[in-house]
Amino acid sequence: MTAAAVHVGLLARDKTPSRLELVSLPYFDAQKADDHGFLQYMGKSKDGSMVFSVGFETASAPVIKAAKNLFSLGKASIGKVDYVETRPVINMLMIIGGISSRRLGLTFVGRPLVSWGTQLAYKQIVALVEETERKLKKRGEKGQ
Amino acid sequence: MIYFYHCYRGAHLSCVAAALHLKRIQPSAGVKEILSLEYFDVLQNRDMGVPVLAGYSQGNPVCFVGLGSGSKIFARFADSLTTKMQVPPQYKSVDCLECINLLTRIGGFISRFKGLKQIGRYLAARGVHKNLDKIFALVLQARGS
Repeated sequence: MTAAAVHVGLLARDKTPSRLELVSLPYFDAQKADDHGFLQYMGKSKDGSMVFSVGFETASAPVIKAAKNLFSLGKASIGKVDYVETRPVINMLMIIGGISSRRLGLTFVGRPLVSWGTQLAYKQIVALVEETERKLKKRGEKGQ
Repeated sequence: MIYFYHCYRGAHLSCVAAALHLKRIQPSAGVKEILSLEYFDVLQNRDMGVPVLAGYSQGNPVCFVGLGSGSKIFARFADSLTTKMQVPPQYKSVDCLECINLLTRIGGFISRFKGLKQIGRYLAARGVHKNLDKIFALVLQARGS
């Protein structure tokens, strides 16, 4: 969700956001288990693409693979969709904070931990977004 | 319309649901018939996300697939994706994991180990057989009949 916010420009890339900036983002630390799988619209990127965030728990690989297969089997064109896995940048603070806040309902403990973890991982999150943008740009140039 | 039956590994519940849909077995089938299904207890963890086309029902593809812990998430994601991209849904996604019981769970787990495959398969089939009515109810609901 933070990566999507960076991608659409809701957060500055050159400065680590404050805790207040993070918690005031739409959807930050707001999802419950029943919300996982629903796309959350974050905004549009510089090139006009729509950017969404979505929670997959630990099942991102099979769910994405199955969705791709389903839509290619049905020959339904859902346009160009790029999936960006953000799990590699998750740290222990974010995991513990997320479980405390969302699963155990201990928001007062969990939210500061998630925010802190996100601040620590911020550079990696920005790097991931920029890497994605580079890939998309390259692909766009090849396609022209 | 694509019928998409899914469960944890795609090896037991969804595979049997697809067979029921295609009338390869009847809801009154016994453990032996379940065990004789071509794809029963075949898919492994590494196959998760890859659907198996079990056959066609009135020209519509019937598939089953393992989604790990994402069985519930998948339905929400696929629906959400079609809604946001304004594509009419051309599939019916059926979560068979709600028909799981302890026997299927234990059987499915131990069938992954060499030497315990036969007993695991048998236990899983017994578990599926116990809940065959429930699975058939899901199939009827999906077929809309």
